[in-house]
Amino acid sequence: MKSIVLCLTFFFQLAYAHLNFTSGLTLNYGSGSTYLSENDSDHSKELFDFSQVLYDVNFYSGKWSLNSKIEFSNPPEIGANFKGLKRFLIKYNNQKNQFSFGDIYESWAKGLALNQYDDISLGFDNGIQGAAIALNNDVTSIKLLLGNKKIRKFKSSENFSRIPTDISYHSLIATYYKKKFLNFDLGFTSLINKEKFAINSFSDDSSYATHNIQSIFGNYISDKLELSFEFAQKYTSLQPALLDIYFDIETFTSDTLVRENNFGRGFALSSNYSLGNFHFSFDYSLYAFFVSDPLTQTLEPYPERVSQFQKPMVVSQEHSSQLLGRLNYQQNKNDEVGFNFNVNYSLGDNSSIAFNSSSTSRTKEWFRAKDSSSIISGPWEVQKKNYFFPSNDPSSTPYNQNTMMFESFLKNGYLKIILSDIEKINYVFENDRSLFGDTKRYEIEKALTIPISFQYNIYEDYNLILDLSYQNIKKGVQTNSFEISEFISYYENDKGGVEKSQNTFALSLGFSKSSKLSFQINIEKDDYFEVGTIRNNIFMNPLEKFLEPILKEYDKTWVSSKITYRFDDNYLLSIFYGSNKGGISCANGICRYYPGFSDGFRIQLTKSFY
Amino acid sequence: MFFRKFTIIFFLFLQPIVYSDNGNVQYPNIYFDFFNGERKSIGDLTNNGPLVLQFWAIWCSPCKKEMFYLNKIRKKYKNSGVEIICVNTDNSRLISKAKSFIKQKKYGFLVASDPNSELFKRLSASVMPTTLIFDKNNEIVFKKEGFMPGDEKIIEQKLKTLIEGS
Repeated sequence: MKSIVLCLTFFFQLAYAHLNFTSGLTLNYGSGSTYLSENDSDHSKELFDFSQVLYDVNFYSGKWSLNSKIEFSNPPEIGANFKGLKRFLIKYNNQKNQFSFGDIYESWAKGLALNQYDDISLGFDNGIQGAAIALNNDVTSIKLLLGNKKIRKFKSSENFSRIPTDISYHSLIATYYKKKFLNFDLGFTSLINKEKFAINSFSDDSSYATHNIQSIFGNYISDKLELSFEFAQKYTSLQPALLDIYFDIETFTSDTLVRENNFGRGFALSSNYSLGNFHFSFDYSLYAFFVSDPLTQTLEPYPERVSQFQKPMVVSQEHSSQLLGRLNYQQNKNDEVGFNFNVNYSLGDNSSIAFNSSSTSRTKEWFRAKDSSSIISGPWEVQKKNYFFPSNDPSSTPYNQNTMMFESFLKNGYLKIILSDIEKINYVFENDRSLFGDTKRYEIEKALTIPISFQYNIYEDYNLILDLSYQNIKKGVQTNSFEISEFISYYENDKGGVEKSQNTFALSLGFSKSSKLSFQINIEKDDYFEVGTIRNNIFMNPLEKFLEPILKEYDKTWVSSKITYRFDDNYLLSIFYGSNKGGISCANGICRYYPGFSDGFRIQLTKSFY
Repeated sequence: MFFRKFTIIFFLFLQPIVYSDNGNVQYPNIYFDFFNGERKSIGDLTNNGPLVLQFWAIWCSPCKKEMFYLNKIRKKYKNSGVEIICVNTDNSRLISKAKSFIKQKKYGFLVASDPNSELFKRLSASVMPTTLIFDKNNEIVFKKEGFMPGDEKIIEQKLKTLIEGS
């Protein structure tokens, strides 16, 4: 230890005169209470607290740099506790070649083979600890990457958990080659990822999966047209193999399936084309890395699925507005076929109008056979393969979204209006065929959403900000059996009666003084309750008490306020107080559930030193 | 034990901050990979005047609002040697949507890609958008986090000061 201290002291004393330094501090703190009962005296509430300090420290000296992140979190909002050096990277970089040692993140082509990132807000990190070398000249680029990583992720059954409990250990070696021909690039990647994973949650038994992935990719760029694609294939072998035992309770027989390997393929393409004031884009994906029936999709562990380093391109359009963001498509990296088409028309320099259509589904439709003598349906079987285009059959859990958008930068403000129509099947419970007819039962969700965003410069530095959203959702279980069609809605009124749909209104009204201060008050109101969810605003917080005269049915209303203050250009403080509905929040193709709370606050402070 | 080691190393790292007298930090070793496949160093872009650098992502609405105003600033000051570069941090999952967005808006500023957020981390950025101004010596003279209406006026004011001072 003493020798390390002496060496480091010597090194840094030597380097003082040549080192440049920057750093950045982020502090996240929050506390919230979710009340489970209307009777305050029984103290049936759940606390949702988090505290996280992130400190980025960066040093530069000539062609060398050292970047590090220190984290103290206990706990973070989402993710595992951590105290210490979270990440570091030493890098040598000249214009042609780079050498890196430490925590490395690479994103190649369309992510079908390799896409690494650290998303603190989602508690996900698939960067490797190792070394990378990149050699470039004007026409070719070669990269080599190797290292290890312990990856935490949420199990598919853990949607409501804050801490990812599924841990796997990975070693990775990957190569990349790209050559440039005029306007066209062509390249290859190869990746071997060995993964050690737990066979089950009740023992220490583990097994190994080896993912062998190769891909070919290309890009074409011209003034009007851009086109890029990637095709990847993956071979996964398990050592030792896994055994699945199936028991048939009707015949009292069992069957054993040995899982030793899996082969899958994926293809992604994106293109855009400009023609005068029109702009068109088309994205397409066909991911068949691990195609499985609706039951197998929910089972763990299945290391035959995509490697933790494969994070392929997202096809569907994503939204960031409050109500629409909750309905963003949840990508299936293993089994998906989909496309997105967008046309945009520019109305001068300041305005545009756009239409977008997204459609995705699983690559196969599934059914179960049921003969006249049996009560229980048989195993899932393939009904139809959707080779190139998404299906609308409920058994392939389709997602369809059509959006119209108008955006204009006004002389003294900004206006954006979106009209979105979404229809999706979340789960398929039954798709049974028998001599008497077919039975289909599935969870369906249809939503019409209109978010409007408006901003106006009132006087000199003072601005008004108004975000207004309306959403109508129908969500429930649809059953089509023989000649009967029945829809059971998830929404109910105060008296327990079933309601066909839910209306939600969200209002955010704010004022800002340029570059210094902004204040906003947010109100979100539902008509009814969703069955099975926590009625999480039964406690009236002081802010809601203050607004009580104008708010009715406070248990279906969430009120919050947020102040952002900029002490100087790089010192930002924001404080949130009130109640929060929570729900799904999606970004970058990944969705997480954030719990709502009745009474809570969040503080975020960011400060840069340079 | 690890924590003690870490604490000692951390304070050693702090020594340069305490003792060195750098003033603003020079960045001779930053390279930008543009959407069109070209690569340039920061020195290439600050040759003629100040450089405005903004980090953005396709899911970030305030970033896209700020980009509209940055494009206006570029048109106004392009003859004064001002360069504007918007660095996209979307990785492989969404970068095609980012490229399409830039083409449909017909923005004239430079757009680079930072899919691993390497540059974002190197410049100690933590929120989106983060906007920096570099002077002709590649030194950061302004850094702003987030976007509030009116921020574009602050950026323009800083640029004016730099242009008039050079």
